[in-house]
Amino acid sequence: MEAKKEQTKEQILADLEECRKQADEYLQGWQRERADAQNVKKEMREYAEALAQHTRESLFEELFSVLDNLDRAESALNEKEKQTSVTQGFLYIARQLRDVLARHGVREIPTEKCQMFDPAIHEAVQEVEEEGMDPGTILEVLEKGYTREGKLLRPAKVTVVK
Amino acid sequence: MAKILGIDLGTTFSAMAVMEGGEAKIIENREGARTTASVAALSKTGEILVGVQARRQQVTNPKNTVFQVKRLIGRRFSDTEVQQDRKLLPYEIREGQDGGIEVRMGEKWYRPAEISAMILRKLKADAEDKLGEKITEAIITVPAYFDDSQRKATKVAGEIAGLDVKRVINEPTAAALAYGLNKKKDERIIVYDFGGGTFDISILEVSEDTIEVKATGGDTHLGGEDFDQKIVEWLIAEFKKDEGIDLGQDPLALQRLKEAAERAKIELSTALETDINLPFISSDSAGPKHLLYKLTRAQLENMVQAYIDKSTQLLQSTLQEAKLSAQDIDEVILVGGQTRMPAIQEAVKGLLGKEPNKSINPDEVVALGAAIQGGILEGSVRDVLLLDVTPLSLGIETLGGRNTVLIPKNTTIPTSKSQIFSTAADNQTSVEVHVVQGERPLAPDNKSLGRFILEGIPPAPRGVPQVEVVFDINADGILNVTAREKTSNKSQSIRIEGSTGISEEEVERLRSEAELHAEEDRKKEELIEAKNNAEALLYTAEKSLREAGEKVPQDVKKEVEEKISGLKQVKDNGTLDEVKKAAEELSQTLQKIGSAMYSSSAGAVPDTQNPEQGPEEKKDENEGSDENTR
Repeated sequence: MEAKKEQTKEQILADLEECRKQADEYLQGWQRERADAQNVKKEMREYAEALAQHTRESLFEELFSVLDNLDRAESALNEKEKQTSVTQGFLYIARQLRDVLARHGVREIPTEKCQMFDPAIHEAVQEVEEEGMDPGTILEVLEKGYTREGKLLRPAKVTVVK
Repeated sequence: MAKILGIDLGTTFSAMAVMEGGEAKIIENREGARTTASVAALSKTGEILVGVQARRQQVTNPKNTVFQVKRLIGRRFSDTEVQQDRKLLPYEIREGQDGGIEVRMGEKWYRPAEISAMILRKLKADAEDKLGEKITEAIITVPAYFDDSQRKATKVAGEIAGLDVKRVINEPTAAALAYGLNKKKDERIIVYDFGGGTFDISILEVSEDTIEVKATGGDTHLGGEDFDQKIVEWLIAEFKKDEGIDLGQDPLALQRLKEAAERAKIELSTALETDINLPFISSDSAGPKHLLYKLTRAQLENMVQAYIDKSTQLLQSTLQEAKLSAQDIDEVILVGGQTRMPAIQEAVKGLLGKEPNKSINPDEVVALGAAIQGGILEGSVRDVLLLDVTPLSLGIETLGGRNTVLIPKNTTIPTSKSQIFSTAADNQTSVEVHVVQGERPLAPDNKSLGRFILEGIPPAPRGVPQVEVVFDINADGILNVTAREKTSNKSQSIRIEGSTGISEEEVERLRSEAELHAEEDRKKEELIEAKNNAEALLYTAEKSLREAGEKVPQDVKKEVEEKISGLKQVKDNGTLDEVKKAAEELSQTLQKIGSAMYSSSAGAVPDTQNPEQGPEEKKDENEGSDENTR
């Protein structure tokens, strides 16, 4: 009889211990979930901002290839063609597009001949020998690079001196 | 608790993910990209570059730019694969003292694991940067066919990068984890992984606690880049035919062609045709030359048919090897960007007779699965915490028989939502709360769960009393609805069991009904809204007339009264346009009261702009805008 009682008491204590452990575990799980939920809210706000940013940036990136082609068109013009008023009009449209992008914080990466190639902002498309120029410098800018608020949107595509 | 980073260390690209809030999430790298190029280089200025920067300088530095090192990791120099790959890789490869491999960057020779470690180190640092905490533990994935030595070398790469690699798991297994297929006992899964440069097939068997690889197959030199190349070749041939110029000789033109080809391929996964438009692609003595070709999905499929056929043949032979037939397969998972191509999805479906799993971004699914494996080890993914969602929306009936939803479908429970409603008539002392379940905008079209009446609301003009209705669902799906009037604090409630325990067929039926009636419901709803607005406008108009009394000039008063009776006539039985028109007229005329009063005195102006929210239980707390809340 006595032994049985003892065992029951032990049993109860063990159960209690188990319950405490479980309660603790549940409480911790709950606290963690609450914290997670609040954090998710904060992150959602940041995420929404990042998403809006990303949407803008991907639109800009698509517009860059339009700008590239406008640049190509401009450099294909001869002096006589440049003087016609229709061409002038087109060149103003190109300028308008650049102004729109500039208003949204898009900046051209200043890239010039003889500048050192830097993979952080330049992408090498080809490498050619060029007398009188230092190896590793930029010979020609093929497509301009752009940044926005310090972030690289697209590197400038360049030809590098071998 | 420190997070375990899940890493998909790919041949051409790598990706990483962590568990956050019980879900796996991709982490962007420092450049803001969701994948990182698996390239490392020693730049001409002596710097170690990893990722996109290494790629950007690759053409100027091919000997010191190491890519696709995954093809070499953990292998022996004498392996036939290594001997073949050696011919394709521009950097120097030699046999190490132990028969392993060494690659050269600058003056130093590195083991492939050390190169992989550079990539892993960048991933680790970028993840720490993004998450704002230290990362010390990782799960790294490898192809299912990797042998012990390749797995060990991958683990070593992680260790060199300062990561405690908790597990090296198979890429297909990670993909299965991402889809939650580890819980499906005794299933056979095919993972069809068509990446940028490799094509892997794995057959998995899920049993108690384990996912076992039964067979692997594929082609380590077949990938999405081959598809792009086909388009480039086609463009070059067409242009040569039309203009007589070989664009393949011009590196810039070639690069523009490659980019345009990839973009066209991606577009043709959703569109049926696309323009490849590259102005000023070249020039000759006659002036600039432009490239503009239309490419259709059918044309593309034709170009790459041989690759698709090859992939399905490989799929068949892998099945044969495992002594299985298509019927033995329960699930198919698509991995790798190239599987977005509809023709590939069709081919896989045609061969296996099953709709493949493709809802998770195929470029990210492996990294996500690795993060989930990390979560399982961390203990943050516990089945105990499997939370239920409400299968259908829960709401109450409001003015005009509308279903105002408080808890939308697919809301995770337990949850609680409340909204303030008001009375529809002056001195109304009771409101009825009718709880409904379903997606139809009109309450009677939904399932009625119960109703009760809240009495004892102190007499007040319509719209003034505030009745708060609270919906609370506990983890067992028991719904408690309470309505409480705020000034008297009188409340009434109802308990509804099994609001979530509704059979799947019924959920399906209710949902499809909602879809079926969507258009007709929308019209009905619009009419009710117009009537409710008319109702509120009439109330305001009469009140304004009453309050303004003699201050309103007779002619204005007469006009308002006419418009009021006009609206009353069409309100109940008129069409939507009639009701809207009459209401608009009344609203216009009402403004005359306002201006008349302004001109007579700057005194009290009746609120003609904001007719109070409709009768019955309906009013949002914050404002009496003329929009109904839902």
